[in-house]
Amino acid sequence: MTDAHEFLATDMLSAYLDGELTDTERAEVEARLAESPEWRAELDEVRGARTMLRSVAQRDAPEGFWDAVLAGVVAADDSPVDAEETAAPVVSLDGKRRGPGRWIATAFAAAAAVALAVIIVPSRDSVRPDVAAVVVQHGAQGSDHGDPIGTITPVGPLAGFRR
Amino acid sequence: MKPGRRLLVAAVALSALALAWPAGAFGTSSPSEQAQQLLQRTRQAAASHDFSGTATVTWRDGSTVRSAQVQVTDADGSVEARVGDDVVYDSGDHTYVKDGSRWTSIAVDPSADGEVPGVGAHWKLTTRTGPQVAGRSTTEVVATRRDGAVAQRVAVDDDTGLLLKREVLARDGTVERSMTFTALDLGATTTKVTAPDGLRAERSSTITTVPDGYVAPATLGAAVLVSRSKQPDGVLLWYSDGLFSTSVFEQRGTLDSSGLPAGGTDTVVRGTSMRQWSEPSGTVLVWERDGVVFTCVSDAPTDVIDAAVTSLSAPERSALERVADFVLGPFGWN
Repeated sequence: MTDAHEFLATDMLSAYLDGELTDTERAEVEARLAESPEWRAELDEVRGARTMLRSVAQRDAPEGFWDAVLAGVVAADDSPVDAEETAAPVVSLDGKRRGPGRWIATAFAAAAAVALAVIIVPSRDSVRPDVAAVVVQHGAQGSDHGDPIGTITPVGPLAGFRR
Repeated sequence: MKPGRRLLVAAVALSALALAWPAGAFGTSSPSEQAQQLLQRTRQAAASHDFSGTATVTWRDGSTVRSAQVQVTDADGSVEARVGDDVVYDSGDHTYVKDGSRWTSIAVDPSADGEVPGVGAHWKLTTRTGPQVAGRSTTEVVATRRDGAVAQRVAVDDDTGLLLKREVLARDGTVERSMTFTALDLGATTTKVTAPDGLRAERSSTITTVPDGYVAPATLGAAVLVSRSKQPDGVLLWYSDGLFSTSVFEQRGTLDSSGLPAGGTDTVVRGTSMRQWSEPSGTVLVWERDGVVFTCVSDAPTDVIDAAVTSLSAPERSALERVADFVLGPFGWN
């Protein structure tokens, strides 16, 4: 498979697993899967990667973590500068960054960046559920399987969800 | 009568006949069978009797009992519930909602749904002489939990079979929500009940399995999964235990709490934080788990809902998660 085809296959297969393809597209993908071992292997890879990502526990940083990071950075900034720096009124920026306090600050910044990456990436879509629509849908579904009067009448006053 | 409703009513009538057949006649069937026949009759009655009336809807919101007056019209099997300018119109396979000046629509295809379990499978049903409702004599159908606590009472009009009153009760006997007709005018309605013109109903597509990343347990407590459908932005599941039903709408992503409706309270079910609203038509719960946002609506009593959503809210720790727990535990990340 060429690189372009690999990207296409990955995108299509990801959408296929998400159930986001049209009937035509899905039929095409299934036909390709039936005839192509490469596509089947790709599907397994995409599915495996998604499963692994989803199964990784996501946690909020423990209480005080960010305060500790911030305090570390501030402490590094406030740490005493060495004599060499004091004696030389004009120094290059690079030279100033080589001070031990700066190294500590850099280390904290790097740790914070890694922590952010662990916590935030991969980012997911923000969801605002249309609660009122689900309430109405529930009433509509219920009216087809039960008494429509008792099901639809209470849907009339959508009390908490007026916009 | 609308075609969709006609088909439904025919199916219901056949079911009712099948229920009644072994006993030979209503009078010789068991109390549970009589109760089930009465509940079936309410569906047929709604499709075959035109009426207009006023119903009082109450619902318990925390310690407050709220209420609303709803104008209800049934014509040719289509039902309209109106509160001021807000309207819900249901013709069986289509439901339209007017919120102020804006109409939205929903199409449902019950023919693709699975079988709804019999109400007698999980609930004990009995009948007794009911109260006078809107000046009419009724028979009351009482559904009790296994421990004998009443879960629902409905009053069925002796003459027409229309459902005139419904109460859903908490385990301690408190009425959590109710619908009671205070006035009923049988016969041809003067109010025209029609669907809005030119509004295309959004029809969801029935699916046999949910896409990767969503969950669809076969049961939620005593309720079984009856239908799954793909919506434009998620997956909708519908469960029923024969008496109460629960809808579960799943969307992949992170819950943006700032976009939730006002009001509601925070609650915790088996360690999962949820936002909860008490509505006239049922309880609403919203929460996020494993990258999926759940919106759950149920007309069941609170204890039944809590038991039902437990299987959606309490994840098992996977092997990888347990490894992560072990590795990150010493750093206080648990």
